[in-house]
Amino acid sequence: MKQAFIDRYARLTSPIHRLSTGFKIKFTLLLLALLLLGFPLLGFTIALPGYGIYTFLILTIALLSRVPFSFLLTRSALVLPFSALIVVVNYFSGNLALAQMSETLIKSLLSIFTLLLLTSTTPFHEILKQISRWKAPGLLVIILAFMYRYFFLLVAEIEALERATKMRHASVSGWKRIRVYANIVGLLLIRSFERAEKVYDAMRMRGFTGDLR
Amino acid sequence: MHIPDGFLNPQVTLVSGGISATVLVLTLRKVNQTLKPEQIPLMGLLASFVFMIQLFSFPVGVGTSVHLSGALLISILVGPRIGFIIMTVSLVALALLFQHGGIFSLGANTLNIAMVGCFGAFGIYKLLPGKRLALVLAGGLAGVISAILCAVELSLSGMLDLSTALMTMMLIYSVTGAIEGFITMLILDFLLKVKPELLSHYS
Repeated sequence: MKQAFIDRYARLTSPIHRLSTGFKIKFTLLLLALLLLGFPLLGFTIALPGYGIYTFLILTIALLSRVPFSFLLTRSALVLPFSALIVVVNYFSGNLALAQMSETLIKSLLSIFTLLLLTSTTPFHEILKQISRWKAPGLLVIILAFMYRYFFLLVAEIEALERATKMRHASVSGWKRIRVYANIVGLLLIRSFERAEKVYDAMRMRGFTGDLR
Repeated sequence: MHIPDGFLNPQVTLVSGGISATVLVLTLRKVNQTLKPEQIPLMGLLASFVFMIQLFSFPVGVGTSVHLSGALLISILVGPRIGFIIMTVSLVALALLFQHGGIFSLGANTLNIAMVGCFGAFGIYKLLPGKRLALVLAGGLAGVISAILCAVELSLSGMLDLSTALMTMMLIYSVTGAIEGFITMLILDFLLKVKPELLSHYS
């Protein structure tokens, strides 16, 4: 079993990784707010040099952080399907404004890149610790912590279920496979319920009484 | 579908964020009053479950694959309020860790996916008579509401023209919503056969 790390590059050492978590979160949100709420109000032509400076800034941070560019770029590319949908719809309805569309694309690529820099230079549990220091609702933080902790187990489980499906349902094709999918999801759900029970027992033995603080 | 950052203008971002944050705070307050300690790890595990199934696309032949949002299913199993919290948290994690949707568009995505899926689809399902077909209908109708919200958000932001947006989104979302309802029905059938005690709310 290969251990799946969600925040794979968060444990490298670099000047960016060493910065304090609180500062990194605040800085990222500030950058994003500027990009998404500030630049659009200026209009594209006035904001153009701003976009240039912004790009230069985050590329510098990316270089300093030693997170592989290939990772940052492939992950950033995840905005492309959504953009493609918007472009296609606009194209067929005949109101494709190229300048506006390219600004949107630049904005969404830059924002996803900025957020990636935060999450790939900071371990996720550090982010959670910080936001709970900032009085984020305890229930939300603890659910996020559970997700982070149990993610790799669920990955392993779903991989095993997929393998089992391939072995047993080779002849099932087309829409009948929907039932196979439903069974996989159902099984995963049952296992989640069962695991939750076991986890609760273990937590109770260590003195958990439901207090989140 | 998760709207990435950059597609919504500041006004839409602030309004949708405000609505979602308010509903989240109210729901949290309500849930915290009746929360049992054993529900805390359950919510964590179910949030990872939702997170996983949103990432896991299953091929069903000729180049198409399906995946659930899980909102309707979770709401039937643990109630719409807890369901809403679980869905919202998994949207946060998807945005932070897998770049599905953005941070500033989180409000809009919570509105379109979590709120419509948990309160909308589940509410419609409860109102409709019958059980099995009602799921498909509720999924489809919630898909239409989701489509309208998504179209209005995108057209107010100047991304799409409203009528085209409505047409395309409604076409896509009503079909995917109905499929979601149908698969939810199959999953409930499976649970009823294998572990019926999970379905105490469903009866």
